[in-house]
Amino acid sequence: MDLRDSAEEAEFRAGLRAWLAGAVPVTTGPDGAPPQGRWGDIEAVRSYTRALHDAGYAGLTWPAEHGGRGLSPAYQAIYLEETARAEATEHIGVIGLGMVGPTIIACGSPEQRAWYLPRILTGEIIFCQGFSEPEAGSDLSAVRTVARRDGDELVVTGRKVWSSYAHLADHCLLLARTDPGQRRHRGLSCLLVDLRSAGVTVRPIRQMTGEAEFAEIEFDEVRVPLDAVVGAVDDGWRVAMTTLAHERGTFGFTLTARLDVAFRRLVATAKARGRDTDPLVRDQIAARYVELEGLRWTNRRGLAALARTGVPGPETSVIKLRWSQAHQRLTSLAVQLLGGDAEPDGWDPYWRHQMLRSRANTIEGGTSEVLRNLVAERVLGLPRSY
Amino acid sequence: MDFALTGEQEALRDTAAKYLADDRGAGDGRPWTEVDDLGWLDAELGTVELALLAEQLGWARSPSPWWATVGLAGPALRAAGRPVAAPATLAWAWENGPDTLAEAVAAARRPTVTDPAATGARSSTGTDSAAAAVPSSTGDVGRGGTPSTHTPGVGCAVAADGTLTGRAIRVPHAVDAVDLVVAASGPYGVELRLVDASAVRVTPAGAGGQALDPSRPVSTVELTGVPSTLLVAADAAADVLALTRRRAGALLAAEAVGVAARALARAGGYAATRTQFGAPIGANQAVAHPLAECYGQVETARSLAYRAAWTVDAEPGRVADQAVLTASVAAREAALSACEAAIQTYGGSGFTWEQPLHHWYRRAWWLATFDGTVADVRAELAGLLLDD
Repeated sequence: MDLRDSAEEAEFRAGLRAWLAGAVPVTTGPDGAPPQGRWGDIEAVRSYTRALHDAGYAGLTWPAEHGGRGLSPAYQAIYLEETARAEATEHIGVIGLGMVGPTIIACGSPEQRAWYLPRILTGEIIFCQGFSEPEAGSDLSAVRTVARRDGDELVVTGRKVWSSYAHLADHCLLLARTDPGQRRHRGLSCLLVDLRSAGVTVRPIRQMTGEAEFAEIEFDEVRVPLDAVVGAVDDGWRVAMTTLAHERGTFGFTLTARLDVAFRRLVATAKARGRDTDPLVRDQIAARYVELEGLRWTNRRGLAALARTGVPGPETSVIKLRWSQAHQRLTSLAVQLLGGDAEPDGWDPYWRHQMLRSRANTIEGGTSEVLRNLVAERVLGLPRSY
Repeated sequence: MDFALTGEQEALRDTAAKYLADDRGAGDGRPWTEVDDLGWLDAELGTVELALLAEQLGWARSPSPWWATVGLAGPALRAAGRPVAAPATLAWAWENGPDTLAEAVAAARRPTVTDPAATGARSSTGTDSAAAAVPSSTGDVGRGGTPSTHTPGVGCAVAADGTLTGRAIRVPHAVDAVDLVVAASGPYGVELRLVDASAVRVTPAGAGGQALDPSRPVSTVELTGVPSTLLVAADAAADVLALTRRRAGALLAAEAVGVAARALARAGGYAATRTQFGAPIGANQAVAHPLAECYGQVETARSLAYRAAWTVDAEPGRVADQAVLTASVAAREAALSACEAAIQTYGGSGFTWEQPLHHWYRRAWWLATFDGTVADVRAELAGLLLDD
């Protein structure tokens, strides 16, 4: 056990930190408050993405033959920590970089790899994920979107919801039923679909925050070439699980890095509003810190297991569950710190937005109820409860 | 960055688990010599290795005075170049202060104004050769000052002849100890001195079955002109006490993780097998989900406890202090939550004396209130987070 960076890791961290110092655009207002929402100025995000790629920081863990750096997940973890520390925005193609790209590397054809992978790395094409449906939320195997074979094409009809980044995306990794005779996990396929095809309608879903970072995608007889299938036809469940497994690898670091930023902003708000001397507020801030640190070091434990065995340790199954709770508590505390201030500044809309947005955290990417079921069954060995 | 146990660390943990698993009854009765034979008192063991042992002892809810020996008394004995062999403990809290280990460290840091001619050990070059291993760093303390018999606010004084008088409170495992390390005020500040525990009067708190956790007894210890030997002189006592506080705290966090993990394992086992309404009760989400939450608490606390143990040796000072406080909060809460969830899962039988869950629950409460409450720990943590 050595919790320090190795010499190589320290060098990577220092280089990244130096690069970030010059590359990250300043986005805070005069009162120090960050902009609302995750994206702010989309053109700035695009140009930052290009700079990130030019500097070699896109696709750190992708194999070198696919345009990546071939680094271990530990470097991805450092990247996530440092970009959070610098309050940098994300690469514009997070879904492509973190999920779709690794899926194409694992299951895709040589042609798919050659066409999609470089474009994902540069941010030239932006992916969203088309898995959830109105009737297939937690129960993903209930998908009803159909991809009917017609010669050397598939004809897609159906409706996908909760596709994040779909308002920016031009491509979608779609899970659809290719064999109507099969049920549940069998007879599904994963398709790479160009959202500019005829018959595709993207409708933003306005959230309780007022913004729309998710969309509903309707497919009406959309024609997709047969070679857009990732892996084998009717083997889509396995491919989709590969995609979701990549969400688990270092995704905890992403979540924790964001929580780290939020915690520093919480402390700044408490001080700015003169609430940092209130013993009850101090108690709550310390409690939020303990939650943050618990996530941070559990991620690192999970990473060590991943490095040794190829799979993250069972303890990582609680990261998303506990992160969502911690973030909700943190944003609720922040909003309470604002209360009663005579002169609202940029922090007021920021925290109100964060507080409302955090309500989705216990729902998106696996509801807390489903996650507790998984821990109970797969880790604690309790009988299936549904 | 590699947060994985080494093969040697895993072997140490697994051997401990195996040793503690054989059933010798709740009263334990394992002879102390076995602890030494197992190598659990070896000077080479780092805090991570000790934490792995503490976790296993918590899992077993062992009544062994091992924690008090290596966690509380160990740092002072080692600093003086003495072996850690017999059961030992530390007296730092006195009837008229200091109360907590944090206050004891603060008292030891307090500069004292003393008469250089007064009897007593001022530095490691004093009369006691045993203290030779202690580095001297503050040789000028007290020069030219006025005589002082003891540090204000420390309820045990070193007399001119080296004897100690005072009434120590809440001394863990004093009933088991052969060696008693005492934080007492000498003419140059707080010193750590060694006393033969048979020469003091030990009165266990909560005698007659009223103790919170009879397997972790605490006592009032009366010292009346008891002879003592210098272990750590005034110029180094504060640093040794600070290390003691970090080491003991990290080990208790690990012990609390062991307590929590055991309670959760029992609850999970029961929920999977106890049948009502024709199905195991664990098939109900109302039963299963609280246990899933506990699992999350236990695992995050475990990460923090291991990390805290690592910092005690690798990043001593503020980083370690903050890491130990953080782990303490998480581990204490995890132990209480897991025991409470387990008792609830067991239903009526969980409330009986016969069902041993209450032994772990008592230990969890002992841990949750040792040297301050969880709220006290969070208050100190908030100071580190907000006040610099």
